[in-house]
Amino acid sequence: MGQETVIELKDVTTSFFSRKQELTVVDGVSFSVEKGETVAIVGESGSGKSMTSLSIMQLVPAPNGKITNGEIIFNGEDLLKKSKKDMQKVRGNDISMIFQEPMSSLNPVYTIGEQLREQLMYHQPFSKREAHEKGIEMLEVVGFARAREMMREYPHRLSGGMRQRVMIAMALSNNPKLLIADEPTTALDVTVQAQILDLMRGLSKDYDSSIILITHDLGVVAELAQRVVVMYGGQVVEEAKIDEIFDKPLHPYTEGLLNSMPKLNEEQTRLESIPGSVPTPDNFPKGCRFVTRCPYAMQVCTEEQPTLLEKETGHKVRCFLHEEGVGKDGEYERSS
Amino acid sequence: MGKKAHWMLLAMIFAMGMLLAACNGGDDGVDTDADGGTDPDSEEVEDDGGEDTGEDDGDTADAGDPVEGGSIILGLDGEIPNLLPAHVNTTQVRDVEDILHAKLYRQQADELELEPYVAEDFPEISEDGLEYVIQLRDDVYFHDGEQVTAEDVAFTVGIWLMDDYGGQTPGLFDSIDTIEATDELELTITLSEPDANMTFYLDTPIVPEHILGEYETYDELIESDYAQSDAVIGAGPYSLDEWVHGQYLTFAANDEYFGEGPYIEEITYRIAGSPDAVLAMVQSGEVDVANIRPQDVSTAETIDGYTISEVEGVNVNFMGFNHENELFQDVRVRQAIAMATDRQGIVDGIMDGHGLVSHIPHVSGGPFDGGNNTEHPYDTDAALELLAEAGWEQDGSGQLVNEDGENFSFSLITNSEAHVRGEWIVAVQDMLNQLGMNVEAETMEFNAYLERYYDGDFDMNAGAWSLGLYADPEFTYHSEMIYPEGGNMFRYADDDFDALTKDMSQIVDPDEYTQVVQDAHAFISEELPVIPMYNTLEHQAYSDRIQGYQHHSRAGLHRPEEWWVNE
Amino acid sequence: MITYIIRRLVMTVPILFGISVVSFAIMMMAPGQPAIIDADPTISPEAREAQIERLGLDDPLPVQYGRWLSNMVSGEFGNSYISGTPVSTLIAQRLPNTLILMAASAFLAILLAIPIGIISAVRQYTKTDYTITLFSFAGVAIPNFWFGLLLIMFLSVQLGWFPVGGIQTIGGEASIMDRLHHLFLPALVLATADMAGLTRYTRTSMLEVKSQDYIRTARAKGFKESRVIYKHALRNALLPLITIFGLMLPTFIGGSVVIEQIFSWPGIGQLFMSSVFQRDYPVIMILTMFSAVLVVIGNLIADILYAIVDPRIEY
Repeated sequence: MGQETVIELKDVTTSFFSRKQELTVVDGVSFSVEKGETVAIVGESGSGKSMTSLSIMQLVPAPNGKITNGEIIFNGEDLLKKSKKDMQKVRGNDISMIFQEPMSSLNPVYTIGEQLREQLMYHQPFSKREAHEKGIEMLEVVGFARAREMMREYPHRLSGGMRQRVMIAMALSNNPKLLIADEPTTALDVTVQAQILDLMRGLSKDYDSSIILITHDLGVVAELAQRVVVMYGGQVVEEAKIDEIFDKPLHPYTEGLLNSMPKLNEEQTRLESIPGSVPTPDNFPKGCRFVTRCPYAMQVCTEEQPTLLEKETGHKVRCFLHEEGVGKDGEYERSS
Repeated sequence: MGKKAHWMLLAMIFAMGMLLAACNGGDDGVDTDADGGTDPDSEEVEDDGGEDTGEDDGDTADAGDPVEGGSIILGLDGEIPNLLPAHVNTTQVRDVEDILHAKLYRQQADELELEPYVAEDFPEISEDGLEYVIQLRDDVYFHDGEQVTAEDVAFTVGIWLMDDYGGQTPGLFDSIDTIEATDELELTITLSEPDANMTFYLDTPIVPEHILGEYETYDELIESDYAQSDAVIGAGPYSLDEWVHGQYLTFAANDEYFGEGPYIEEITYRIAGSPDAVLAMVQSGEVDVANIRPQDVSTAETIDGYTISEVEGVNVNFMGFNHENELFQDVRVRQAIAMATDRQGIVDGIMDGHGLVSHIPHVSGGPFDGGNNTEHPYDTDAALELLAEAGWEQDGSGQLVNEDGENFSFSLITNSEAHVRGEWIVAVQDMLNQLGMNVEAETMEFNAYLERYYDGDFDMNAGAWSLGLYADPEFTYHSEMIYPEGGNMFRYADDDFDALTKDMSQIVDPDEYTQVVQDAHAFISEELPVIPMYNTLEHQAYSDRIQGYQHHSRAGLHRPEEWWVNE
Repeated sequence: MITYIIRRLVMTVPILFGISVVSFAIMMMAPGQPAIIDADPTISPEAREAQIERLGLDDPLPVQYGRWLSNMVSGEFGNSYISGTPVSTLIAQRLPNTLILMAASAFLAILLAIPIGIISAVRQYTKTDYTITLFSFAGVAIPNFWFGLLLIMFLSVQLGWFPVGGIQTIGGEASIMDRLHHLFLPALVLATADMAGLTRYTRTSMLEVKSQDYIRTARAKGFKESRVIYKHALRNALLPLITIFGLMLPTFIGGSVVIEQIFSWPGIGQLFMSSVFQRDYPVIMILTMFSAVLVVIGNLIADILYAIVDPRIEY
């Protein structure tokens, strides 16, 4: 492990309860983030990556959603054992989050300034004036030229990219140790995406913040992350350094994700994509969750769940192909 | 021409029926009425003992000597729109006028007759019945100290004769040719034709000419402070102290009043929004006197500190025929319908017993009841026999058919504001349908009903009349009085009846006049141009601290100047 | 903004014109003649004609309407047939009472409905929420005349806590306390239906806002729940309520007709009721137009307010 771990998730399990059943959306997820490191969580929608980030923030939608198991060690303390009040001190202060939908994530009836100041003054002993100046500074940091005027604007006057900058400014305003960015660029158009990614890369360096980047876009991952956690069906299926993921993915799902990614240097008429879609939690197969879509599915895959094993140093995978004594001889059937 | 209106007689429903019944939602079968100017007095009802229904009638309720002072509050369920006597004619307005104003004549305390009030005596009438001379008392003063003179009376009546008269009772004094003060206290009226009921019309309030004389048109009068505010003065036992529109009027005892009393120092008329509100005010002790609807009597009887008085109302509910409809041209059919209608059953079952079956279209047992009426007791077999004689027989399925195979079908209409009437016409429909008729009972909003009633657009109707101290059957049933010439809404035409009542309004001798009315009523009871149903009983709750209480069905407070309170 | 208001005001002219035409037509087509004419069934045909002519009711409808309209435009509101009083005087006597009643009801409705609706939304699917929901449906469903009589029966007659009606103690000092004492029950009853409706709207609006992304943002900023609800959710949730409240104005006017009768409240509702029964045309028309103006202005004010509190709306 590296020099300093900022956050470590251990076997975190989150479920939604209805009268009839319990649906487990985050299933025993474990990973950690080092200081200054950017870790990407990738997966299609429904893979549990957003729920994992909301579990860290303890913002899983109440009253049906609940974190039922595990530990989240942050600053040497288990966040899950913290009181509501103590958790409020962590949110927006030590851990910040920015969301996918910049258009709707800002409160429409308050000015940018009011929203920035509020967060600053809530967590730090700023006067209104100090908060205002700090707010302007933050807006300048995220690239607003007319930051002072911007403070007086209402969100609806801003474009999506500008709003996401504002969100980032807010998220960073209290110097968080960890920034969780949930699909920060998905809703933006391509040129703006690049600007925001540049901004985040620069800021993570300048502020030495750790980032958990949640995305389904491996292109974004390649730009920002040092390490990647691949999730499928609420579970971590692979975890590795960025180069290893791209160079030699172990899990068939990761492989599929990579194949569906446009490659700029190759001529390609069609993108390959993984057939089918992520099963919903009430529909998980008995064995490996990916079995229904896996091109290498074997008998054992339909019967038992594979475990997450460290194949090489820092490279973990959950697949029978890589478990001792299984599949070595290529005794698998191709599913199609 | 101008047939004077017997606005009182037919009076009905109207002005008030509307106001009262309509707005307020309904009272008993009768329109609580409104008629006009004159009126009758209560009949005393022999009280039916038992319940704590206290005193009924117009007599004194309690012993002891009158004491001066104190105050009482009366609950009224309708607004006082205007206090110019000639303008609107509602019970509420009359209640105010009764204590505010003096009149030449007024109803006796306990008989259905007039007595002189400001007049010294009944008029001296000339042989030909055209000239009336009336002497006034010399001790009557308006609240401002001016004496009431013949000029004032002439001026008051003159208001009705103004060219732009715009009140509710045009034509009341149409038979007057001239009216003048022939001396300070002598009034002479000359008629263009004899009018048996002229004296009755003279129970209108007398207004001060010295104040109102400056107004030349009716429009000016109606907008004047006198009509619209507490500037109004009269010569009655109480003067108006304060009038807050829509809320209350307070009256102060007039120490200079020429008659008995007043003893109670202050009387307040409190205006409630509805009869329900009035009842609640009684229940919570906020008013001392209030009229009680028949359906509320049992509730009211349980209220501590109040007595419920019951008097026979001066009104009659009836069912009328449209005689242009061939179905009803045979008297046997009309009699059969009367006999198939269980009137006592309706009074007992629907009216809770608060009514008296009547056989004449007037107060049963009153001065116009000669006692020689034909009753048509409830007897369905006899009814069927009469129908058979008239050509209507039940077929196999029990339906009445005539020789052409036609069914006996017609509609029976009434207005919805009088809830009880709406209920009993359904009962009547049921009774007649059992006989094999095909009756459709219909209730409708008052104005819609009225329009059909006036236009003769009905087969049978159910209605009610508030009655005056006099009666004029010629006006209501004579063939020359078919609406709009007169008040014959039923299009009834019968030669014998015509002969009996022809020109009866020109009879000058009161006894002779009464005899003709009684004969006409006896005729109606047999021939049934309308079927009389019942007279209602009227109820009033009054606080036990009131002494000398009197009750009259037409008055909110009857002679309150003679009451007093024990504090 | 100013141009917007002017444009809206100009637009009310054809609206009011349309309302006046329709009301006039309905009023004149209703069966029956004004009570001032038909009070006396024995009136002679000549006298009746004279009355009808005096009131101008013998003219063709368009002529009558034209006369009414030109009188209106020149500020001639006419006199009540029944009382002979200038209509403006009648309204001056009664309007303040009705406005006080409506304002008090609106105040009560807002004061109670919004907090209750918020509680209901915050505690969605709890017993509290179900109880509030039950009562608010009951509030909408219960006829207010019945509810009014019930309250009078229990609170006024049985317990004697409130007067049974009127706007002040007769002959007493007209103190503020006395007026409020008389005002409470009618205002409460008039407010009931709207209060219940408003509670439901507040709940729905609040629930919708609660699931918005910016609420999640507020939580992610670490704000305590009360701040999230009352600062970030509430203001957004209240926006649509402004419009709803504008739309509720007519129900206040309609409700006051009934309430004023039950509570003997001398307002324009009572006046309207008796005018209709008496076919007192000048009063009916002026009150109808007055209500129409009130509703139109109320909605305009609601829209302007909306624009003021919602920065997204621009003109």
